[in-house]
Amino acid sequence: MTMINELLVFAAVLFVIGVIGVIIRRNTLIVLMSVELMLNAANLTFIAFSRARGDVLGHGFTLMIIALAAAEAAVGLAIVVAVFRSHKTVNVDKFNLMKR
Amino acid sequence: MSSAFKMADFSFAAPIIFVALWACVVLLASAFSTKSSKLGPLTAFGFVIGLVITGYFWTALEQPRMSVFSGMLVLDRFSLFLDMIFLLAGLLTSLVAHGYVEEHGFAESEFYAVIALSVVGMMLMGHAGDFIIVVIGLETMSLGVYSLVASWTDKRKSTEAGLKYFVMGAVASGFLVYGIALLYGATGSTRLLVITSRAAAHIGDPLYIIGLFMVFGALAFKVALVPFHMWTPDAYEGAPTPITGFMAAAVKTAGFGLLVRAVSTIFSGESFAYGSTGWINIAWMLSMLTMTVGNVLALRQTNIKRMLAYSSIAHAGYIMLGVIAIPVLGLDPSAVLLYLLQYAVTTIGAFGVVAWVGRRDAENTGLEQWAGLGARKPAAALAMTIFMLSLGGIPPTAGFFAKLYLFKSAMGHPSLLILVVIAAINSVISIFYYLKPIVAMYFRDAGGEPIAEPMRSSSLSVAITLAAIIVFLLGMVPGSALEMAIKSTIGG
Amino acid sequence: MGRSTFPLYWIPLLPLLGAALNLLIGRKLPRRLSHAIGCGSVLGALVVAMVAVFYHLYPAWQAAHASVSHGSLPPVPQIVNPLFDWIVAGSVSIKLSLLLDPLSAVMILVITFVGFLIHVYSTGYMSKDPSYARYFGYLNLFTGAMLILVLGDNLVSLFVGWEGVGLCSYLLIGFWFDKNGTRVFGDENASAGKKAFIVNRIGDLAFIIGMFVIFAAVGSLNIEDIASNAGKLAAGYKPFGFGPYSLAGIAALLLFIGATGKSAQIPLFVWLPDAMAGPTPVSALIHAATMVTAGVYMCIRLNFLYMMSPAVMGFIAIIGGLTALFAATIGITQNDIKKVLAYSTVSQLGYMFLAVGVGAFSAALFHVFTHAFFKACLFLGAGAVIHALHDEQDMRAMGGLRKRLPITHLTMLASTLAIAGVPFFSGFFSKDEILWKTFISVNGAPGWSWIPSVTYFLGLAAALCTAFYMFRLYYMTFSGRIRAPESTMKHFHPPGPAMTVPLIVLATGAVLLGFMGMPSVLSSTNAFHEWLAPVTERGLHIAMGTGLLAKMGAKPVVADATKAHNHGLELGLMAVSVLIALAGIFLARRYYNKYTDDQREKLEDLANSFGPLTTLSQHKYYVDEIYNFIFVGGFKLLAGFCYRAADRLVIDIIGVNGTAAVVDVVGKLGRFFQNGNLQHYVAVMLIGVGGIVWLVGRPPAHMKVTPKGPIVIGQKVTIDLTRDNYEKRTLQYRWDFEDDGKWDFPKQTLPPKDPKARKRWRPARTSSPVVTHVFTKAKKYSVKVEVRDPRWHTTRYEKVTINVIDPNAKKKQDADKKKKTKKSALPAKAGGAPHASLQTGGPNRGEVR
Repeated sequence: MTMINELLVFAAVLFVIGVIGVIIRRNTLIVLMSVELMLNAANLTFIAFSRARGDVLGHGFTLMIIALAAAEAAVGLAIVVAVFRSHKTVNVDKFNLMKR
Repeated sequence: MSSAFKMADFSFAAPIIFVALWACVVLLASAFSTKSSKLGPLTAFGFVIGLVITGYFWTALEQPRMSVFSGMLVLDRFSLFLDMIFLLAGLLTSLVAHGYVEEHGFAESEFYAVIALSVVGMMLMGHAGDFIIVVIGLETMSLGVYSLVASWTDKRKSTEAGLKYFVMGAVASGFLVYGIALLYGATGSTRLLVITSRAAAHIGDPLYIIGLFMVFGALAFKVALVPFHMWTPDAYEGAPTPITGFMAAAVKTAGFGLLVRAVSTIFSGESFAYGSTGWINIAWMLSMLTMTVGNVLALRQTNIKRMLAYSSIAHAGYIMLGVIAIPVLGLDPSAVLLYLLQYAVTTIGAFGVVAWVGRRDAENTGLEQWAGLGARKPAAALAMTIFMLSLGGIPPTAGFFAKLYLFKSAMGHPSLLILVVIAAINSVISIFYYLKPIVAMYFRDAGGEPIAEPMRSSSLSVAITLAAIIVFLLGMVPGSALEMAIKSTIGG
Repeated sequence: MGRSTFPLYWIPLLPLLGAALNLLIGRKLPRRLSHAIGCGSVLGALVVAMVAVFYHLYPAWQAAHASVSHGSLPPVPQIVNPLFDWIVAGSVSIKLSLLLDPLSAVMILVITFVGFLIHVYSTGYMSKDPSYARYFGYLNLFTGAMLILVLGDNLVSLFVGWEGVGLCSYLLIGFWFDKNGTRVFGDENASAGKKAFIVNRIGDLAFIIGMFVIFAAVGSLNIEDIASNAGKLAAGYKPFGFGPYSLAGIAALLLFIGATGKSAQIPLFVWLPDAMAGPTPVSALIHAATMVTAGVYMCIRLNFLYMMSPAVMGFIAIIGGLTALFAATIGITQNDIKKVLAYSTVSQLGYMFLAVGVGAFSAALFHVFTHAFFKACLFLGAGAVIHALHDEQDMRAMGGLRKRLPITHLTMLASTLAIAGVPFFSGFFSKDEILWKTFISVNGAPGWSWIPSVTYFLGLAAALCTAFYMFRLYYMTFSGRIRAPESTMKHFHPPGPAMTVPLIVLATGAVLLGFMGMPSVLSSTNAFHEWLAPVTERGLHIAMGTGLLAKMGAKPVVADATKAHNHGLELGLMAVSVLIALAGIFLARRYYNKYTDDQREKLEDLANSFGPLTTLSQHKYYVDEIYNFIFVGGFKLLAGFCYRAADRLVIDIIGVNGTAAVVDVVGKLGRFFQNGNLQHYVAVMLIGVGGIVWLVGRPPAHMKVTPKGPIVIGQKVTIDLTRDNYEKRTLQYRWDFEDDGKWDFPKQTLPPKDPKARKRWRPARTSSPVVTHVFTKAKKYSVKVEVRDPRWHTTRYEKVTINVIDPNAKKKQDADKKKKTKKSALPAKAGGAPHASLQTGGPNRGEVR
C-alpha cells in the first residue's frame, strides 16, 4: 500500500521516457517501442491505483490495453514494413515527401 | 456494475453488431472471389441496411437514454444520429473507393472490410458509456484508418502518410489511456456518468484535471485542433483520396461525437466549464487558433488535397465553436450534429470529385491540372462547385444553412460573440481559397492537351450525385434534417 | 391589407429555367435556339409580371387608394405568394414567400422590360461570340437572381439574390477571360471580375452582420415582421462607451455599407469602372440599369429602418452627394467611352442615395426608374458605336459618326439630354425632384442640420459636371470629322435591327417617362409618387411609433412644410437647375464641338490652368493606387506577417526558445511549421498538452482595488482577489505592500533552526482573497501578492501599483510658495507603521477532502 507514490512516479517517468523516445529516436522501430512504453506506463498507473483502491477495474483495463498494444504493434509493424519497402529506410528523418 | 449482461442487450446493440457482421461477410466474400470488383457495392449495400436499422432505432427509441450492457454502451438519439452520419460516410466512401481502387488497382481485398470495421469503431465511440468502450472504439477505428491510409503500398506518399498518422495516433492513444488512468486514480471509476457524479469533489485536483486534459488532448488530436493538427495535411495528402474524405468526414465526426459526449458528462458542471481551470477558455483559444491557422495556411496551397486538409482543420474550428456552445446553452447538440452531417457529406463529395478526375498514373491533385475542367467535364466541375460553395458557406448549399444555424445558436451566449465574429471573418477569408478550384475549372484554359479527365465509374458518379443532392437538399429544405437534429438529444 | 395571391414564382423561375437550359446543354443547342430560350424566358417573365401588376396589383392598389381617408396611412396593396416553409423546426421558422407590392412592381417591370430589350440587343451584339449559350445562360441567371432579390419578402431571399447577382456580375465581367489569348490570371478582364467580387465581399460582410443584428433583435428576417416589430430595434446601445447608438441605427448603417459595395458608392465604388471589361450589353443591364440599384432598392424597402435613424440618413446623404460629385469630376477627363458612362453611373447612383438620405424614397426610385432607361440606352448606343468601330473604345478615335450611325446618334442624343437634365426629358424630372427634396428636407439628428444645404450644393455641382461630360461624350463621338482610321471605316459595322430597335424603345422611354412623375408645381398629380406612397410613407409612421427618435433626442428626416408648398421657390430652383445644365452643355460645346486642333489647344490651356486638379481627375484621384497600397499591400503584409508569425515566431522562437528543453532534445528539426518531420509534429503536440496543463495549473489572480483612482493617505484600501463563482479551488495568499521583499501579511516568521522542525515548517499564508490596508506615505506603492495553489504546488505573482497622494500637498505647496520668502518649509510628517487588517467573511470556500 505504501508503494503507491513510488509506483506512480515510476510510471510517470516511464511515460516521459516513452515520449522523449518518440521525439528523439531516429529508428522507426524504436519509436514504436517507445510508444509501447507509454502504454505500459498507463498500465502501471492503472495497476497501482487498482491496488491502492482494492478493486479490479484497473486490472480489467490493463488487460484491455495489453491486447490493444498487441494490435497496435501488429498494424504498426505492418506499416513499417510497407514504408521500408517503398523508402528503403526506417529512419524517421527521411520521411518528408510531404511538407508545408 | 454487478448486473450481468442480458440477452436483450444484444438486440439493442443491433446496429453495431450488424455492421460488424457485415464486415465479416465482406471479408469472406473477398476471400472467395478472386476479383474484388463487386466488393465496393456489397459494402455499400451493408451500409444501406445499417442505415435502415439505425433509422428504425432512432424513431423507435422510447426513453431519452438506455443503458446497454450494464452501462457500457449508451443508446440515445444523439448517438444514433452520429451512427447515421458514420454509415452515410461509409456508404459514400465505399462507392467512391470502388471506382478509385479499380482505376489505380492498388488495394488488397480487405480494403472494404476495414472500412466497415472502422465504422464499427466509430459507432462504439458514439455509444460509449465507459472509458473502456471509448478506448476500444477509438482504437478499432484508428487501427483501421491507419492501415487504410497506408493501403496503397506502391505509393511512397501513402505509406509515409500511414506511418506518420500511425505514430502520432499511437502517441495520442498513449495520452488517452494515461489520462484515463489518472481519472481512474482520482475518482475510482471509468464509467462516464460515475466520474461525472464524483467530479464535483475533484475541482482543483491535479490528478483529475491533468487526466481530463490528457483525454481532451487525445480527442483534439483526432479532430485535428491546432496545435494537435500537424499530422492532418500530410496524412490527408498521402492517403488514397477516398480515404482522405473518409477521414475528414467520419473520423472527425467520431472525434467530435466523443467530445460532445465528454462535454455533456465529465466536462459538464459550471465549475469545470468556467473559471481558470475551465475548459471553455482553453476550447475558446483552440477554436480560434484552429479556424485561423487552418484558413491562413489553406490560402497558400496549390494541391487540392492539401488545401482541403487545411480547410478541414478550419472547419474543426467552427465545429469546436458549436461544441463550446453546447454546455453554455443547455446541452443542445443540434447545431453541431447538423454541421457534422453536412460537412461529412460535402467533404466526401469534394474528395470524391478529386478522386474522380484522377487517372491511373496521374492523380491530378494540382490546381493547375484542373484548368478548363468546366468546359470538358461540366458534370464534375458543377459537382465540385457545389461542394466548394457549401464548404465556403454560400447559399443555397448545406454549408450555408448549417453554418448560419451554428453561429446563431452560439450567439445565444454573449461570451461567445467575439468568437462568432472571428469565425465569420474566417469564413469570409475561406471563400478566397474555395473559389480557387472554381476559377481554375471555369476561367482557365488548359494549356496543352487536357490533363485531368474524369474516370468512368458508375459507382463513383452515383456517390457524387448522391452527395450533391444531399448538399442541395440540406441547403434548400433543411427543415426535416434540422428537426431530426433537434430531436437527437443527449440522454442523461 | 389588400392581399391576394398570384403564382409570382413564375417570374423568377422562367429566366432561371432558361439559364439552366443554356448553361447545361447550351453547347449542343443551335445558336438560334440559345437566344430564343434566352429572350423568350425573359419575355415570358415580362408578360407574367405585367399580368400580375396590371390585373392583380393595380386593382388592389385602387381599392386601397379609394378606401383611405385623408391624412391616414394608406394600406399597402400586396400580392403574396407563399413558396414553401424553408425551415420549420424547433425555435427556428423561416418561411419563404414572394411579395409583390408597388415597390417591387416597379422593379420587376424595369428588370424584365429593360432586361428583355438587352437580351434582344445581345443577339446582335454577341452574334459572333463563340460562347453564345454561356452568355445567355449567365444573363438569364442574372435576371432570375435579380428578380428573386426584389420579389423576396425577407432579407434572406434578398441576400440570396444579392449574392446571386454578384456572382453573375463576376462571371460576366470576366466573360472574355481569354480575350487576349493570355492566361486568365494575367488578364485584366478576369482581374476586373475578381476586383468586383472582392470589393463586394467587403460590403457583404457588413450586410451579413447587419442581418444578424436585426435577427438577434427581432427574431425574424421577414420584412413585414421587422416592420411590425420595429420597436425591438429601438434599444439603445453603448459600444465601448461611445454612443448612444440604437440597434436600428447600427443595423441600418451596416446594411448601407453593404449597399455601398453593391451600388458602387464611396468608398467601395472602385470595382464598377473596371467592370466595364464585360460585354457592353452586360454593362447596360447589370452595371447600369438593374443590379447596381439593388442597394437603393434595399434602402427603400427598409425605409422604416432608415427613418428610425436620422444620423445614418445624414451619413447616407453625404456619401451620396459626395459620390455624385466625385465620380462626375472623374468622368470629365476619361477618354474611354465606357469609362465615362461607368463614372456617370456611379454619379447617378450617388443621386439616388442622396434622395434616400433626405427621406425622398419615391424620388430615389423614380430616378432608378428613369436612369434605367436612359443609361441602358446610352450604354447600348455606346455598344453600337464600339461594335461599328471594331471594339474601339477611345473617344479620341471616334468623331463624326452622326451620319454613319443615324439611329444610334438620335437615340443617344435623346438620352444624353435626359441625363443632362434638359427640361421635359425624363432625367430632368427625376434629378430635379431629388435636388428639390434635398433642398427642402430637414435632418433632425442633433448636429446634423447642415446636411440638406451642403448636399444640395454637392448635387448641383455634380449636375454641372454631368451635363458637361455627357455632352463632351456626345460631341467627341458624333460631331466633327471622322477620326477613326480608314481601315476601320472600310469594314464599318452598322448595327442591325436587333440592336437599333431596343435603342429606339429605350430612347422613347428616356424622353417620355418623366411625365409619370411631374413635380407638383407643373402638374396636379404625381402618378409615380402616388403609386409608391403606401410603401414609402409608412416609414415615418413606423419610426415614430417606436419612440426611438424621442428617446435619442432627435427629430425625423422630413420635408420642411413651409418650403414644400412654396411654388415660387420650387420654380426658382428648377430654373437654377436648368441654367446649370445649359451651362454645362455650353461649355462642352465650346471645347468639344468639333474637337479640332484649335479646340484641343484651348483644352490643353484649360487643363493646364487647373493644373494638379486635372491630373487628379485623369488618374481617378489615385483611388485605385491608394487602395492597392493600403489594402492589397496591407493584406500581403498581413499574410507575410502570419507566415512569419506562425512559422518563424510561434514555432521557431516561442516553440523553440520557449520550450528550449524540448527543442534541444528534438535537435536539428527543420525550420518550418510543416516540415514533414514526424517528430517535430509530436513535439508540437506535446507543447500543446503542456501548454494547456500550464494554463489550467496556474492559479488565477484578478486584482480589484477599491476605491479606484488616487488614494489619500490614511484611506482604507481594499484589494480583492475573489474569483468568480465558478472557481472553486482552494488558494493561499500572502501580501507585500511595500515591495521591499518582505511579506507583510501574514507576518513572516523565520524558519526554525532545528533541521527536523525546519523540514515541516511552512511559511504563513492566508486563505482569504480579500485584504485591506492603510498606506501612510504619499508615493506610488507597488503591491505584490503571491497566490499559491497548494494542490498543484504552483504559485503566481501579481503586482498592482497604488498611487497614494497627500491631500494637503497642494495646500502645502501653496503655503510653501507663500512662505518661500520667509525661507521656512514644513518637514514632512513621518508615516506610521504599515497596518493591515483582515476582512472576514471573504468567499473562502471549504477545502475539498
